[in-house]
Amino acid sequence: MRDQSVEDSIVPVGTATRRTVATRFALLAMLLLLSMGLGCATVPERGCVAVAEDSAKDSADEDFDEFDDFDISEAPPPRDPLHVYNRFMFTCNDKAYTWVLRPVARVYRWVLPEPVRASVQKCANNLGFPVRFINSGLQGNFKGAGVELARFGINSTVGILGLFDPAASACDLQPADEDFGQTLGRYGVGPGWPLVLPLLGPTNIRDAFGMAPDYFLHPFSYIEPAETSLAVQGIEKENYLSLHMDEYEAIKEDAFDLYTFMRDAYRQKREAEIEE
Amino acid sequence: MVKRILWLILMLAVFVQTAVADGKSDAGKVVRQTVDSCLDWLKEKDLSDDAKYDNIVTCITPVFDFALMGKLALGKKQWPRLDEAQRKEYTRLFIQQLQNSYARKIMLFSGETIEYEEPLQVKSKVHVGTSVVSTDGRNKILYKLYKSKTGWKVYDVEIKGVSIVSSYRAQYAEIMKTGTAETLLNRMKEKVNQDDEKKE
Repeated sequence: MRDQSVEDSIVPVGTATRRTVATRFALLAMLLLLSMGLGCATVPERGCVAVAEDSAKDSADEDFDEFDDFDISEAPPPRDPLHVYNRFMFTCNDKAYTWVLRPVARVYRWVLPEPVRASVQKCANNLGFPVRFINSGLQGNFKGAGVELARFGINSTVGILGLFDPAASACDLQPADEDFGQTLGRYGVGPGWPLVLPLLGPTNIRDAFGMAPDYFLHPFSYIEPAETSLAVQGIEKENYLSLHMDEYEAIKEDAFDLYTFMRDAYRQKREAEIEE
Repeated sequence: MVKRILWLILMLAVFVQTAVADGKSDAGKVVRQTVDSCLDWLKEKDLSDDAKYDNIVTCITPVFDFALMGKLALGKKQWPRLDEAQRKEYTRLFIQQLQNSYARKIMLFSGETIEYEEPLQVKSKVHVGTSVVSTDGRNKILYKLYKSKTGWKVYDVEIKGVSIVSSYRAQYAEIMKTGTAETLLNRMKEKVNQDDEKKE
């Protein structure tokens, strides 16, 4: 757009003489080169009208174009029709975390040394293989699925039932965190309304549905009786928390409005994961 | 004449290309040096937490364009709603808030290793990807830089795909939806005061 306008403005200069034609050509070429090479992508894709309005309101601010020059999307806040329930559930979860989950994780951390907890986590992650493998495949990411298969093979054997992760440390095979919510996203299913689930935390309608197939793909779901299955999953969560103590606190201290922050962070994280 | 101009264009093209190529590795170096020197300060056992914090702030200040981050965080729609004095106040509070937040995050660091990826040219910007490798996995931190008059500067950081600037914007938008610029500034003042009290 910018090139266009400059081009227009130099049209009257370019009369019939050869010299001006050449100058024009040179100018144009230089502009083109500059815009390609340096990628001065100040060309706003949309929101031109908004810029015009805003700068009319505020003409003193001469470097207003700056906003378009940086690739941070200025999407309006998402519709959140369930926000009354969501905020309530969010507060419940926060209390459950502060009064139960966190103190338990602290004791757990005190009892077990870090290498043991790290190995427990790796072992649990290794068992999540079917979820990542199937979803990588469903997303058409066969390379990712292959990496998962290789990781499972290596870590279950050389890594002694997944207690260690030689696939990552020795072979640089990194896990891909794929789940059914991402698979749906890949096929164009939108996130839907934001939703906060009891204990599971912030999510959205799509990802909440996605939890069902993943549940059936996870070996923990097949432990009998159901109480033991729940206990195993609970221990896994506490183990994870014990390795990531104070992270939630650090976020909490930063936020003005913790619910809005977590809702937006979840949205951004999922968008990044689906894009990968 | 035409020949000469063509030469000029060619020279320019070469110059532009090399400038861009150098930019990528320069930006990568800036990030690496900054992160490494922050980590060096954290490893100093004789320093108090306060001294570590001050040193970290001094070492990130020349590399982060805090004022620009603040402007981007408020966004195109909200920025014009602040008058000149309010903008100054906003920027001051934003910088303080961001520095507190960054220092808090980096204090959590304990013995993880950092891996640096090859910097990526995205239009005129450079994205420098890093991975923080901990005992049970790895987390991606992406630094986004632009070329300012005084060199490469960070204008946004993404942690596991979550952009700091966007996160602040979402919260500011929520406040500005019902409140005015004054409401926002008061909330920010409260926050900074809280942080200062905690530090003491």
